Amino acid sequence: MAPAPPAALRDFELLVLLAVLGLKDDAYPVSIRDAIEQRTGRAPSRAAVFITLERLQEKGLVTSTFGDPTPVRGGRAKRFFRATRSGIAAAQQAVDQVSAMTAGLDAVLKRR
Amino acid sequence: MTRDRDVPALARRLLRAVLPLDQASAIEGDLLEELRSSAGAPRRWPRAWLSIQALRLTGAALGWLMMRRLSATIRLSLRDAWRVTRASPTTSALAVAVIALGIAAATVTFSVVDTVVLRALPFEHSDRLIVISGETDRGPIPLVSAAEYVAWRDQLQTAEVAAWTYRLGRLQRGDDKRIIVSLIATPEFLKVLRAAPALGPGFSERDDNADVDPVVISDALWRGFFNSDPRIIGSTISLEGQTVRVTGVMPPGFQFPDGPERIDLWRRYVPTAEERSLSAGRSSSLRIIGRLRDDHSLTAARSEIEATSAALAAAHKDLFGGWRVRVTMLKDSMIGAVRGWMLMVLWAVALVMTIACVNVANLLLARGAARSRDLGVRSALGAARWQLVASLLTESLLLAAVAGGAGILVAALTLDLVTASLPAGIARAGHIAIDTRVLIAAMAMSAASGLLFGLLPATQSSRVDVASLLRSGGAPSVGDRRRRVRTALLVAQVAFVVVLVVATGLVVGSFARVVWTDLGFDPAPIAAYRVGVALPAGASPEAQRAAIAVARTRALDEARAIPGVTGVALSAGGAVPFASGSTTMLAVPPGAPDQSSIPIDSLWVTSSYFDVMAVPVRRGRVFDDDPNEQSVMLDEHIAAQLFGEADPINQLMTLRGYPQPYRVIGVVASVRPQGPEQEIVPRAYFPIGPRLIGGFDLLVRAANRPDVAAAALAELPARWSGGMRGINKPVVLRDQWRRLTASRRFSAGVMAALGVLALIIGAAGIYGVMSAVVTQRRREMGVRAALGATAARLVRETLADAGRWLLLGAGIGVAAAWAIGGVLSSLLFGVTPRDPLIYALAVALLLIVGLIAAWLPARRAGRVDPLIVLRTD
Repeated sequence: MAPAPPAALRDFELLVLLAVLGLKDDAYPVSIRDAIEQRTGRAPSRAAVFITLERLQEKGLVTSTFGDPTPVRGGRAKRFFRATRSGIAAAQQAVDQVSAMTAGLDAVLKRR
Repeated sequence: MTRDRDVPALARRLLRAVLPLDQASAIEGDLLEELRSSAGAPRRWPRAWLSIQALRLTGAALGWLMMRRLSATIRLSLRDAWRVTRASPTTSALAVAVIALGIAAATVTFSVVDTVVLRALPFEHSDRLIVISGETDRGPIPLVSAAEYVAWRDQLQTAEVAAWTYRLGRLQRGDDKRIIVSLIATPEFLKVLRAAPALGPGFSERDDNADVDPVVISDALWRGFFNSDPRIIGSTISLEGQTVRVTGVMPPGFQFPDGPERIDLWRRYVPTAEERSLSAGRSSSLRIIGRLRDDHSLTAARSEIEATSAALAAAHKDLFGGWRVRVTMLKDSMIGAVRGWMLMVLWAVALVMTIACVNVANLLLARGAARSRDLGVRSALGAARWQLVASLLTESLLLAAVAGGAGILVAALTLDLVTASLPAGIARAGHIAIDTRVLIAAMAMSAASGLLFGLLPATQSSRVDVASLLRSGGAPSVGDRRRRVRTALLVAQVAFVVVLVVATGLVVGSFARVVWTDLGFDPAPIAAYRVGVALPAGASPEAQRAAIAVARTRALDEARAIPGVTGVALSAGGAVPFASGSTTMLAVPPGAPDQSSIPIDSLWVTSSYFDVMAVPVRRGRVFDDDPNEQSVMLDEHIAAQLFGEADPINQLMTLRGYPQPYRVIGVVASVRPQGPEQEIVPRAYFPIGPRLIGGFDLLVRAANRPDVAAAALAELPARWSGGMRGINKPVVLRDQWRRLTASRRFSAGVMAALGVLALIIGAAGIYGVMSAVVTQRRREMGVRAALGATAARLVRETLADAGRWLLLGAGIGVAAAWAIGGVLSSLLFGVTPRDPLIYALAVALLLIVGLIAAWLPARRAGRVDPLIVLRTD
């Protein structure tokens, strides 16, 4: 049986997934939100990040594990997210699609 | 880290109620970390901030979880529903077919009713448009005379008015000729409608002095006849031999819904001084449309119009005897007659739809009974009742969706057929289509029907007693309760069917009465053609008389020569039957004071008229065609009114305004020239001979093919000369009569179709329930057969059961029809809403159909073999 094609991603799902990939072993909601804010200049709501992570997990694109409790968090553990192989494939496909579509548009889009 | 820096307890508890502990705890940690991190600005109210953020996340988590759960439930239900639907294809197909038929019927009906009755007219502020007409005790009179129009135009403060009429005409440009429909209207007409030509100035005040009459043409005529000639404005064309100037082209698709279906040309009409003054009598040939001015209400306009008209009528008492003005909204006047029966058909369709839903509910209930094992197992495995209900409801919604799709498809395919068979003259019939509104209504209807027929079976079937199911080894057991519900549904269905069949009976009965009403004459073999005679201007009365006599003789002779024609006659002064227009004269009863008079519809005819129209002569004789005869024939009605019990023959009748009395020489039967549903028109017939009037109606009797005779009549004018010409087209009275009764014929046909459909659905329902009953009672019957009950007895008892339910349903139906029948009374003719014969026939029909439907499964009861039944248990 041929492997299933990578799942299609919505805009915000792609941002969150890319943030998870970029943060490697340190991807948890707070850092993910910070990363998106730093790169895009706009902070998504905590609820949006939460639901998107849940949805990505349901699609099998990320997994989550719990870390150790830390004092700064009032003794609570972090919930770390990691992209799965199909998550990486889905992100790859989405980025490929965007770059395929943006090729030759440099003049119009004024890339910095 | 201080204690007050933790997430407040309440928020924490809520979050943990929604999410698993580890996830909730991780979120709390995230929030605390953010609060303490140097990146975040110091927060004034840390506890409040924590609470708010935690609550927002709780809400998000809750929404997310519910969405997931719901979509999973829907997915599962749909999967189940599809499986079940495929597992019992017969039931599913039957249910889909019944509901699809219902939805198709309802969709078509709704699209017709929506377009014709419910929508606004295509004019600016169309809810301000009114129609002014007249009425007498005998019925409505749509036409008024120029005098009324001028009075209203000049005096009304509350409304602006325009008068119009229409006629066929011949248009010529070079060698091109075409017969067109012209709307002849006073100059205010387009302004009242708030319509204007797309090209050109249209009509204006200056036209009054123009030497050439201005006309405005339709877009279709401009494109079709004038090849979209851009220089059309200002050019002259020949209309009826007269030169007119085109001053405008109307926008494409512009229509005047109250007028003829197609208008090619608008022509200006200005009443002559003679027409205004009523000096030459009152000739009513105009229709009036108006628009309420400013903020005046219909009531205000009505009272002003009534006052104006009353003043006019008081000044001309003799011409307005018994006449009253009538003011209605344009929309009401257009659809007034249609509205009632259209809404009736809509209700009938709703009833059929209800019957279909009840029927399908019963079918699904039967399937639910067969599935009690499946449902029981699911219940035993922990499915909650609402989940069972949801999955059963999904089944019915799935069926309804399929049926809705099929129904809309059927409706789309048959709509053209239905609109084509609509009676002619229904406003806006050409605009009927399945559009977004209709689609939305059809889909809503499908969903509603799915809920309607699904809810009861779902709640009933999901009531599973797991313990008894397991005890019985999984065999489906049908409780008394469920059987009662099915019986109740059956009774309800029968009651609905009876209501519909009674309504059908009343409508069809009315139609039959209309068809059988004695009109006093026989329209079937008659063709009529109106002939105009232009009198030589300035000629002496003798010369004019001679010209008229020549024209009359010529028309009669040529018509008589048409093959198949067995009689010819002329009439003048009134209209041919089923058309409007009349001349009213005032008869003064003998011995009565001069002020009292009786309005009489007057007609000038040749002596052959009574033979040709088959109006029976009751007493006396028909007059001769002597031009000097001062005699009159009366109908029975007016003869009795004038002379009471005395013999009217040889009595003298005095007419107001005529010095010489007329001698009554004959009495003929009363007629209903306006059709079976109008009152008798009291009428006097005068010999046409002495009458100095140019136009007349040529009437021919052609027993076999009046249509062929009409076609031959249309050929005559080509040979005529001396100012004789044919006006409009010859009419076949049989066609006019059909047109007049078209609404009744159509609604009777539709109701009959719906009634039959309801009977079929009802019969299917009875068949289904009785089949189930017989199957369930096989064992009991087997035992009784073993104990000696004969087959005939078992069949009889089963039928008696069915008969009891049928009678109960019929009783309820009759009571319901009795209670609500009154709403139909305005649509009925010759039958009362509680006509006992129709009720009896309806019940008898239902019992026959119902017992046949019950007999088929009941036969199986007689064939139960006790050995087989007892062995299987």
